[in-house]
Amino acid sequence: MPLPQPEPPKPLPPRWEPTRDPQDIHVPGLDTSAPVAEQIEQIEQLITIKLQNMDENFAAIHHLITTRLLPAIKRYSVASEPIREAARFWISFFQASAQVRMRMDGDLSAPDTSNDRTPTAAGDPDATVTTATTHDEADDGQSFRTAQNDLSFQPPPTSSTPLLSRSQMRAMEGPTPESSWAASIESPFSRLDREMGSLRLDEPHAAPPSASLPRFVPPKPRLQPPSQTKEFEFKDSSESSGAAYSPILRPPPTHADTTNSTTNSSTAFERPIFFPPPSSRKGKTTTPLRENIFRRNLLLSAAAPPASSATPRRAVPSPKKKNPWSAQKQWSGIVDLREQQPPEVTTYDSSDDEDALPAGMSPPVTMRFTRPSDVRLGRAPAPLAAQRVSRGFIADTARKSVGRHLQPPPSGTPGRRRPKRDSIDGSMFDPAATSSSSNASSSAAVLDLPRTPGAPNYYYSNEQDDGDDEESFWGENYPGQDPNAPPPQSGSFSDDDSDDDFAGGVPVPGSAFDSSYDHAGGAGSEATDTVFGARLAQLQQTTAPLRIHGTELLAETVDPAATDEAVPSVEQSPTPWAAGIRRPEYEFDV
Amino acid sequence: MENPHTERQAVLLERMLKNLDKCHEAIFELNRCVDSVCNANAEIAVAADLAQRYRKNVAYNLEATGLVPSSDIEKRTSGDA
Repeated sequence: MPLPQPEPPKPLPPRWEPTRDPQDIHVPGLDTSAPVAEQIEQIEQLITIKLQNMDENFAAIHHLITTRLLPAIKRYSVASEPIREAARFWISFFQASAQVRMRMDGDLSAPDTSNDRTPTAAGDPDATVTTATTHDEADDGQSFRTAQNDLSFQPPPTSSTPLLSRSQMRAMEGPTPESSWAASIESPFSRLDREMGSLRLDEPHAAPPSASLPRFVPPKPRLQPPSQTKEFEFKDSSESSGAAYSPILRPPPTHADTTNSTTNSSTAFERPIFFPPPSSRKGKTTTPLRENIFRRNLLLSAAAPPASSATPRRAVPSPKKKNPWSAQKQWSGIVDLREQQPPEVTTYDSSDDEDALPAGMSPPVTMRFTRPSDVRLGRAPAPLAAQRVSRGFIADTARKSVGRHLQPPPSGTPGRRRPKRDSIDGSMFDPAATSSSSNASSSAAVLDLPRTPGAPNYYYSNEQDDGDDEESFWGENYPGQDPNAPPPQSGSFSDDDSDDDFAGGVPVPGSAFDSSYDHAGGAGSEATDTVFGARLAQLQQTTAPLRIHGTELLAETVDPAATDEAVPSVEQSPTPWAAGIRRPEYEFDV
Repeated sequence: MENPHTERQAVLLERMLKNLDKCHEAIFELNRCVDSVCNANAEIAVAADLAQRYRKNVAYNLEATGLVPSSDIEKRTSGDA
């Protein structure tokens, strides 16, 4: 799809040609009839205007370039990055498959060692076609492959070539690591090394830019084990020609080797693993590129499959000569990667900051302490919990079937004192219960809560348990009993603490029961009104005891054996909500 | 008489110089970006060419070894061209 063509620019005015005769000069816009002085003035003004236009044009150029062109190009480059990566990958793929090196505009490549891409078919015509194809490729691919010998940079892994010729050395110096084509065909390893090397350019021992490329000397044949050469075949073919390196992994030489004062390259390749900082060497200079190569070799050797080294990791500590960070300056320049240490995690010194987290601890999550369900931390015994759950279930079913006015089945001793834990469950106060005059009846009174649609009907059990932990605090208040039976007298209801007074069941916050709060409004404002607005008289008339619903959720966690002192009561809770709910005259602040 | 014009023009020339300097830098940056784009495109062109050659080789190979009928090869390769 052709791009929309921009409108052609306006044609420039004809260029002024100098003439000898001043009479021939024609200045457009000049009033030739005016006197000369005026004409001069007009000419000056025209010049000024022209200069202004020029300045305006240049400013416009700069503005357009910076605001339109550059962002667009950068966006394009960013968008085409995946395509470039893919192209790079496929180039390396094809290089590896054919074991050839790509040459792009002066690139140096290895000779075509083995081209097995197109198997020659039987028969001459096919062979000719095959050869024609390959020749065609070879001819067309002059930009892809080079002649075998002259520009051979990488010796084939299986051969042991002597020193490169001078032409090769000269050719090597042409490309620089910064050239983009080098980046196009280099393997990710070499690219990584190059990037790492760029971080080391500021080091004192970094080579001057003039010596960007090291002199390449191929490794000595005597130290080339064949297994390792084959191991790096693929890597060789995918290497950028600009990166000189030794593909052969050598055993780390002794320290004496470092003192060899021969050429840098020769000694460099006798120590292929890692190049130490110059302080630990004598008279050696290295280039960042070479260091990158060696580092890459190090990485490759570390990451290489254990074809050559299947030995497990030794437990022998590395000698000082192999410890770059040893205090003694005896580091031989070789880093022993056989004992790889995991990266040390910097332990956070918690002593510095009181707010620091201890090691290994995740940031604390601000918990929302809801009341009152999480006050108790104990765990009820299983049978007790099961008993409670079963009772609750029975109570629920009975309540649903019988109605609101239900009596709990008599169990245990009547008049048991209600444990304080009832209050902790967040039940609301029963202002009616606080009235001493109606203690006897209020204990059995059921708070006839106004039913909200959909809201569960919660009862409050005025039954008091006298500390019999076997029974649930609402154990006696099951609605499954005879609803007409008089409730067991508590008698000492008023003896309980104020925090035991309930006006209603508040199982857990956020439950459906909460909606009834709004209905209650300002409960407890009047002595005769309960939380939910039911009159005291109505309460006294009703006989169904209140029972806390929803506490089955707490049943398993409530430890009846736990003493009240062990568990902070509601009024002891620091939370304002808890403090508010303990007030008999509970007022909702919604 | 000429002084005001000269002054005005000198000021304009100064501004022009500054603008040109900025333009220079912008154009250098533009050149660098375009150069990188061109190089990237060249890589892509190389990869595409390699793939095309590979496919031609594969087609020939299949045709030569007889695994795939030549008619299929021709049909596929002609579609590519």
